[in-house]
Amino acid sequence: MKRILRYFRARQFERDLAAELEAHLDEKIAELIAAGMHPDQARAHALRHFGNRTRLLERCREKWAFMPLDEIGQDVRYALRMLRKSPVFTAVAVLSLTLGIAANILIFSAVDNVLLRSLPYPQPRRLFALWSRSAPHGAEPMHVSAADFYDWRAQSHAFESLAAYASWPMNLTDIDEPRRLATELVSASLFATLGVQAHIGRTFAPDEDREQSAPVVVISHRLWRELGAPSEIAGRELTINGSPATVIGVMPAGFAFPSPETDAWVPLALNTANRSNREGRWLKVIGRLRPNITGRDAATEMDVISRRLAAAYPAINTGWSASLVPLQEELVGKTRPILLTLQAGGLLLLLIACANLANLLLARGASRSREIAVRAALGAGRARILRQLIVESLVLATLGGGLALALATQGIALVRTFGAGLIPRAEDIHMSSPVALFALAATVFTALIFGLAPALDAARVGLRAHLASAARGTPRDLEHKRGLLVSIEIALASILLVATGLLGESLVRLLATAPGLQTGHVLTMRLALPRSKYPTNAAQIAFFQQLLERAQSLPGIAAAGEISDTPLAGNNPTFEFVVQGAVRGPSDPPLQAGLRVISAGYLRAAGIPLRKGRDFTAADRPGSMPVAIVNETMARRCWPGADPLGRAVRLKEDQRWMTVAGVVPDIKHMGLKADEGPVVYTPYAQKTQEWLAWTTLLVRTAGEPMDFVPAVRNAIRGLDKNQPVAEISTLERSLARSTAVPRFTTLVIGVVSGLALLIAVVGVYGLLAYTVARRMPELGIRLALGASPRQLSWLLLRQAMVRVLGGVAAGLAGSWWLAHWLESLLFGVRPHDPATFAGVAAVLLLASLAAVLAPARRAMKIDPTAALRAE
Amino acid sequence: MAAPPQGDLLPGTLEMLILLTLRREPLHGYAIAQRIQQTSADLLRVEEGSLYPALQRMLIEGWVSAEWGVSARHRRVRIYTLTPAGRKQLTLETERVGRVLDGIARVMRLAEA
Repeated sequence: MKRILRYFRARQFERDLAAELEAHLDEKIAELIAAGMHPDQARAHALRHFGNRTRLLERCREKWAFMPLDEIGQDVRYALRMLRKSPVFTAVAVLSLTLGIAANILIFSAVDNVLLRSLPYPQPRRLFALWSRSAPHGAEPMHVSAADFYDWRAQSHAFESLAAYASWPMNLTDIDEPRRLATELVSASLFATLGVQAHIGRTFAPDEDREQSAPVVVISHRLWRELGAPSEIAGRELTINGSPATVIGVMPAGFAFPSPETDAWVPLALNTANRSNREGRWLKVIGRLRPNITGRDAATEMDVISRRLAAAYPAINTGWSASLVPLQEELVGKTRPILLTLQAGGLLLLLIACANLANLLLARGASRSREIAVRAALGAGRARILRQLIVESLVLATLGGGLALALATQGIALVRTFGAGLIPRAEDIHMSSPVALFALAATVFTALIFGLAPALDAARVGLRAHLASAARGTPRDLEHKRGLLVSIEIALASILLVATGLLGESLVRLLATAPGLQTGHVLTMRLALPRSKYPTNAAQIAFFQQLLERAQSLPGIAAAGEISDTPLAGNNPTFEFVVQGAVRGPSDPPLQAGLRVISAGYLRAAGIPLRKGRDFTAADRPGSMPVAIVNETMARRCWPGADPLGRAVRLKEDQRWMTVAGVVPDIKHMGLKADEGPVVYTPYAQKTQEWLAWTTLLVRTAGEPMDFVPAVRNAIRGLDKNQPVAEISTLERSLARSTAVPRFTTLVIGVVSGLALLIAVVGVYGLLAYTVARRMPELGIRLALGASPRQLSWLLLRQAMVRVLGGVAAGLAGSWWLAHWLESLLFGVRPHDPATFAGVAAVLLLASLAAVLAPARRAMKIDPTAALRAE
Repeated sequence: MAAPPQGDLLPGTLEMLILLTLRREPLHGYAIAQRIQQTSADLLRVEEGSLYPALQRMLIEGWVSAEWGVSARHRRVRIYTLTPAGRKQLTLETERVGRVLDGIARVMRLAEA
């Protein structure tokens, strides 16, 4: 407070002091005259004695131990003027800071949102995902059977509450546009376990998931809005899968469990048979620990329960245990290595930007040391000069930081758009202030340290030495420092480039992978029949048979087919199969294979060739001999070296043997990265599973697939006007989506390392340009003494390239050491891929060489007389 | 950037001398300098370059207060007066300077012996 008052009194203070000094002079002169001196002489004497009046005023002002605001304003204006006077320096410094900070803000905002911020539920650390696990099944976490879930819930004391859920798409009809609902079947305990309340109405009561309970549904905020956001929604009836269900509540807008796409939650009202089914493992389970119980305690208890269940049901549960994963990790686990890689890339870029800034400031400080020395000689206090330099550095950092904030604000919308579907909870991403602060702090720190170096130097060396040396250029010491910084920049850039090289190579190989089916011109859409309307296998088979016939007869359609799970979309349900005549030892793992239920014509529509045998035909009907087609991996694994045709397999849960009628090659059903493993195709017309009431319709079209959507929809409406379709897409799009994450990662790292390369190369250029300017007289002398221009430029080139080589060597060594961190993101490339390392070295050397050629050529053109005269 | 010569004063003694001078009566800047020079029989000279910054500091610290008045030669001058805080500071400074001088005296005696 006192200080602010003082500021307003500053002008008064200045006037007082000036008047006081004037009075002092007058007194002195009067006294001298009284002592007999001539007035003029007296005045001159007094003034001489008085010394530098400005200096005196300045020192008095310093005593007002605060920085007058108008002086800061003056410093800022001066700083801006200085920056404008050297536009190249300013542009390079500000731009590299801007990019470095903005990249970090963006990446860290995503990381912060996905990895660091906890789940939006109360006490999220107490939430765990529970999986079944069995060593013979490869110890992969598997879904949980209903019987196991209810036993766990009855026997566990560590969990306050356990909940089960499963995605179960349903149809919403009796509204203007029938649509498919992304529905979750959930135990009534789900919302209580997560600890969330309804936005309108209520969530499920504890006993609302009984078989005989009245049908109710909780809907998402989005679906509520789609229905016109009526305030009296609770109690309204919706027709879901053909039967009425009463809406009891609407969830809040941000609620996104298990995914942001979820439209509705329906109680998992299992009948007694389904409730006690121990073999069908299809539920996902989450639990909330009691307070003061650790995950380890809970795991120990689950082990005890699993052993108890194995003893009670040895035929099914032997070898099965439960595994616990913190829910946060469960939801974001796969994204972690990607985001951490991107974050590391961002930090490297920031380091390079800081090194670059340091480099620029050192060079600038050197060229300004003379100016500083002159200002000091003219009476500027050391504190005053330091302050000026601090203000300049701050102005620079503020410009960079401000632009970065502006850029990041714009960029964050892009991250949300591009990130949707690639990173979990992308829609929540927003600017993270800790990282913005961190990045700003890092740059301000760099700016201060290196911006002050010249002033501190000046103070150390002393005024006179500085004035003298400034005339002749700066010590070589500085060039060493700058050379070191350039080497560091190059080293960091090469680490980023190696990462880009490895990821890029992986991406190229991934994109070059043949998917095994012909993806061009294929339209896909998904239909799920309501069981209430199509309760039997016969009804379902008839509907899909008619749909296929109508689709095939549409003009411009070359082929049509149906499959239970869309290829390239990532779903591959596996079942346990039994091979006829195979003898399985007690310790042999059970045969798990993917099951795809397809129509006749599917293979042709998808463009999957037959290796052996025949395709399904219309003759493979419910009453005819059950048949199957297997992929090559299945054939090799079950009948190695023998002809699979005519052999028989069956689902373990189904006693019916199916004769192998054909063999097809493996395809990349789950996306290009993964092999599909053994697969059995069975004809839809022979299916025995009543729950399988859905299909994906594939249509191979003559032109752009999306143009055929209205025609195909019409055909469906003609069959059943209430039947919705969903996931309208093309195989090309599914393929693109399956490579979206690696493309995104590679793009971001590529951009980051491109920037890094640019900044580092500018650093190399700046170093040599500076050296040439500084050594101009020396080079002139060398030329005068008979050195050839070529020798001179070689001398300079060699000096710069030694720095670059040092940086490259250090960077590649670092990359070699760090590369294994990338392993989980690579595809078809080893982390220590020699070609990548060599390529990075070549790129850096060539780019640096290009950067130093210009200054080196300038050295070749030096006119010795002019150079010497400058001295 | 070296500091200008501080007269012939020991560092830190100027403020004490000003306080001492002001203890007897309020004075303006020029008079303070004159008074110190006279009472020290011309042994100590106070430069303007040191005097005014010191006065400013003491004003800020609240050891002296300043008011515009008229000098013996009828000029408008700023007259400095010792405040109670200044008196307290004077005691501290006198003790400190006394200790320093005492120390120096002992060292000098030892060197002579």
